[in-house]
Amino acid sequence: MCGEFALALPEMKPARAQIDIDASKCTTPMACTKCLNVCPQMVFHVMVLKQEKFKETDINEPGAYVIIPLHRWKCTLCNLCVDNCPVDAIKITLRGKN
Amino acid sequence: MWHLNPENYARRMYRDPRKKEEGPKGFPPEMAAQQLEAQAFMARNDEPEKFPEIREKVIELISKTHGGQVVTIQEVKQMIDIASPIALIGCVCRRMVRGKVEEKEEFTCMGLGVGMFKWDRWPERYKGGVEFVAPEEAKKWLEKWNKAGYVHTLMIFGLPYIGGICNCDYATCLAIRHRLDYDFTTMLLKGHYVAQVDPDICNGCGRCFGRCQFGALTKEVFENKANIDMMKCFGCGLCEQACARGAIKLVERETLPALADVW
Repeated sequence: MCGEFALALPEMKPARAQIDIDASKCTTPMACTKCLNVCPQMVFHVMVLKQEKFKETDINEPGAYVIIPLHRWKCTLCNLCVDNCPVDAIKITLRGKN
Repeated sequence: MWHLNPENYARRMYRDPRKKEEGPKGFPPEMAAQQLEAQAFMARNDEPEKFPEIREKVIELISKTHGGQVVTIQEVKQMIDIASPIALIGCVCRRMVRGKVEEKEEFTCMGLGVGMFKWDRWPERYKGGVEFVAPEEAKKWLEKWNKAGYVHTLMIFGLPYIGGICNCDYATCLAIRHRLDYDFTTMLLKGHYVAQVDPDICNGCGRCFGRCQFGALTKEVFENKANIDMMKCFGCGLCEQACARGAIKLVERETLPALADVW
């Protein structure tokens, strides 16, 4: 820091949130999409796990898609996703000291 | 303007053998770029001090593989006249970011060129199907998207091959997010124009407010007029399209000395 003239560039800080998604509870995320839509910071991202040639992956098939907290550094720990998850699969904890 | 060169839509560009070549770590360049992006995201989350270095590599790799550039609706209409075939598809970003699976009536993405024949046969990768349209119909869709407030961006699949027109907003477009949140510049380059407000004509009606996805346009409260930060402007022309009085004009980037090389 440079004293009273500390108007420097914002420093990149590591993510404060640790987001764990229980894939055994959240099996068909694309049929729900609640956390994806409720997150104001657009932290979550869908990944396709199952790809079969010339066939569209069924959004209702368990385990075909998975949610990952890709942009975790943007998370404000507002817990909207935790409160809205219908299967209680999301757990958010604070990392580091306050 | 490079994107009006018909050669950049040619089949032989689409089938460029360089795309199959081994890139870093033995992967084809596009896959290598995706892996590098994933590394960059992980670094940004947990070890931000390593992020700038990975970002440089990402910027270099995606400049050769899959990036984009902002274009105005007028430019897109010219591109539609050059490219064939034209097809409507569901947006893959919105599917991944908001879990939104677009049906045929609500498609927001447009594919250009021979690649569309392949996408048509590949439902496992490009879900939701491909709807071929005539140029006139494509232009009607464009106008609908423009009115709704989507930014038009051209998509490069192995420079300089142009394979599509994305219609994006900040929240659900991976290209815009990668540019604004991670500063992957080559993922989405700025357009050939920069918007400028004529304060004598602007009456602060507010039709353009909220049309800017790049945080460049704000309401100047004291004067009750629109204000555009030209440094932040990507030149999409959405505000210009919304203005009923012609108070916003698009200036060619290259005529502005300090912006000529800011892409």
